[in-house]
Amino acid sequence: MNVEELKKKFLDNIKTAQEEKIQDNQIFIKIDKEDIKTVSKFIKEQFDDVNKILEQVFAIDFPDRNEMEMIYTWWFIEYHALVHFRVILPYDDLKVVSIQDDWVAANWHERETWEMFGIDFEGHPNLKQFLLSDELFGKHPMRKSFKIEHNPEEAK
Amino acid sequence: MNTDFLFIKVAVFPGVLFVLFGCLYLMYFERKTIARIHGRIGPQYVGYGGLLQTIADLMKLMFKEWIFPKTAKKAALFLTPIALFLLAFLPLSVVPWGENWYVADFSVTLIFAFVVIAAIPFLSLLLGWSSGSKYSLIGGYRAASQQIVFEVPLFLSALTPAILANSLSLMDITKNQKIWFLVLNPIAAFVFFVSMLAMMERQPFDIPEAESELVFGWKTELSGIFFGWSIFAGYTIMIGGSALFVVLFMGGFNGPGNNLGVLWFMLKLALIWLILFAMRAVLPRYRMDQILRMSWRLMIPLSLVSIGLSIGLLFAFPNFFRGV
Amino acid sequence: MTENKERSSSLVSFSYGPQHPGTHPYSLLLTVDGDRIEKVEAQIGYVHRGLAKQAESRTFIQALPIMERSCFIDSVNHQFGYVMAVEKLAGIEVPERAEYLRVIAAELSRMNSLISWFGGYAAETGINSAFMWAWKDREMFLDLFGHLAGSRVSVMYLTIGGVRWDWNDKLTNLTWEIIDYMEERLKIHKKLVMKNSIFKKRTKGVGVVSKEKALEYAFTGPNLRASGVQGDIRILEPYSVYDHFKFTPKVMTEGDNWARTMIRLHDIETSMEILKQALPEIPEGEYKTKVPLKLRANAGEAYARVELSRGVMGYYIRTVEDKSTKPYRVKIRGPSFSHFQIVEDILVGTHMADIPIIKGSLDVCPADLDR
Repeated sequence: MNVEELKKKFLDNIKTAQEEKIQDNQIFIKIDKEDIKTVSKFIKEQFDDVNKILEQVFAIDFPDRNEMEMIYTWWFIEYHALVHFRVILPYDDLKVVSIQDDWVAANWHERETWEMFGIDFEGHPNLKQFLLSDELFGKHPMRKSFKIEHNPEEAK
Repeated sequence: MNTDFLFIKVAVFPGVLFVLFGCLYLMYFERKTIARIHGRIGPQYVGYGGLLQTIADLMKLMFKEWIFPKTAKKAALFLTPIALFLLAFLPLSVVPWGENWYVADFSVTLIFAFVVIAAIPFLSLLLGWSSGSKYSLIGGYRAASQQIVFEVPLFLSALTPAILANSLSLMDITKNQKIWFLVLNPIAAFVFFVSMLAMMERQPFDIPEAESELVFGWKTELSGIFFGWSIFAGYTIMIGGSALFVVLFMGGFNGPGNNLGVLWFMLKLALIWLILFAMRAVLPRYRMDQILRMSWRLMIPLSLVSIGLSIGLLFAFPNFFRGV
Repeated sequence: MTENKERSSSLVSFSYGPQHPGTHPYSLLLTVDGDRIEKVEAQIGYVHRGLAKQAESRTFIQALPIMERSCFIDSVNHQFGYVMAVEKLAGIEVPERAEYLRVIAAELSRMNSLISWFGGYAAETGINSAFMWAWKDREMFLDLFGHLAGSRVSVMYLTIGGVRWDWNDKLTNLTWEIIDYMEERLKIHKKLVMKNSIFKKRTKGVGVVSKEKALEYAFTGPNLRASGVQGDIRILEPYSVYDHFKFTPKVMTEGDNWARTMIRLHDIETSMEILKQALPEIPEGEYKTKVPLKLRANAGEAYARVELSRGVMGYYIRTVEDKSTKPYRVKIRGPSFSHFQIVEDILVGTHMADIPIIKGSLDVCPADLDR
């Protein structure tokens, strides 16, 4: 299956999927946030003939648009293809369903995203302090509203 | 019992001073040898060629601050390293370094040496428990179970020279050893050597102090001179163990030339130490369950076989062994 | 009920790390029953530096040295991914000579990383000689990097649009020397470590990661190949000029510590294969495209991946405004982050003594783990 066919398979089977672009072997697909569980189940169950891994889960903060983006990347090893699923989360509803019961690898990625951005993952069993130190914990430092304090006077 | 120069024998050679300096220079010798194997230089700044390095280390340990965990049982933690150190001295008192160079000689010195050795595991366990740290506790458990398990093949294989020499005295065993028992009964020598390694916690049996797992095992929480004592105890046990091997299997002070017994003994000892150093440099360590299995399934049966072999030899060549 | 009570009283829990000679700065909360491990909880973040956040306040070129810091030991490859992502975003063409030089530097860095890992791993099993010998071998690479870029550890050789310094004959000779030297040394390392029966006993059949589990935990690189999946993107999705060379990274099916060690040693040989093919063929030409110091990129996103010595490293770069000089968001996808997660699973039921051996065989770099 090449990249085009892979894209078609997703567009046909996921209701809210909209194609964004294809860069080399990378497909970018936008879906509604309710669909992410469907997608993860679909990938887990429908691609028996291929080895695939959940490469990463991460978020991007857009304070101007009052929303955050989340990107889930799957790598289909034998198809030589990467698929990025983009999910938009509005600021007043920073919640998404956790996919860590389908993909164990998502566990730590979601935990990191929760800590850095304050996105809540419903159904995640282990949302607790992870990478951050005590003084930074809870401040969601990867958000744009968090400025790196650099005070040369204090550093002396 | 020969009591001439007893004070010199106890205090200087082969007594306290000899063992202390022996430990220090054993450490130096070990560090240099292992450094060479690693492709390094080793200690070289303190004294000529670093000869005073270990003494400097000892001085440093003496003046270091004592730091103990809050949960430690202080009395036990203070006293056990010293007790271990003193205990480790005792087997050396019965080792015949030369025809006239020994501290004590009586008819059951072999048994005396092993009675003392049998007490060591309890001290390491006590130390591990009294440290109040979980790493030390686990290290202590490991040390105790490893040493207790390997005591059995150690004692059984030490019976072989006793049978062949028809004596329980180390002096008599040496004197009756015309051909090295290593040659006559290699199985016993092998079992004794391996068990001795396990008793001394040397590689590949350094499981109780496995650095990447347990920090420093039962010695983790020791500091200052207490750490120094435990290290000294370790090296004293090492000298004692290898000296026993030389006496039991390599002919002790026997060798060509008159009055050169001590020299021959030392050369044989140095040979054993070189092997020990090389093993420390190149061997990985076993896992706990692997060596326990090894002891029960391999070492104990082999030591029984070696006893059988000795008795067989005794019956097959009665004339050879009659000179006793 | 009483049995349960007895059982629970025999459990001991303690923290394995972060101040521990066997761990790098991370810690495992262990619950052990005698020598058996009942529960593991990994605690990481001790070297979290927020590289991604730092990159947001720097220009594309200023962010280069930070990207290298994500793990010093394979520094060239770490930069490789970042520069590829920026070039993709800004549409910069790289001359072929630069691509060759990048591949050569990347392979040298990979060998450096693998031999260092090998030494460290041998030391964790207790073979101190192999550690000293391997880190002595590493000096060869560091010296070469010194000649190449002026710094030995954080090489900073790659830059956006090419490489920072040109290649020369002296470097070619040094590289050939390294190849000859390493061929000899690898034989010695194999003799000392891989043929040792105790080492075999400690690694064979220990820490087995099945193929399914490896995929589930998003394994990449040597760890994935040890579990029976060819996942080397140098041949699957060749980036740069990797499609010019013939090489076959090894795949094994056992998935245990032994297989992971063998694969990594074989990877050093693979790197030497690539170097042997690349060195005589370095094309003439420019070694970098002129790129303005204040590089501007249009709004967009790019995701580039490289095969690290540990696995797949990915860099996602996003810009939102046209002509922006700084990235809006950088995401660093490190292989160790995925690899280390499995310790909470595979360590359960093993012995205390297996901890350093299993987690060592995963080749986890704490700096890459926390970023």
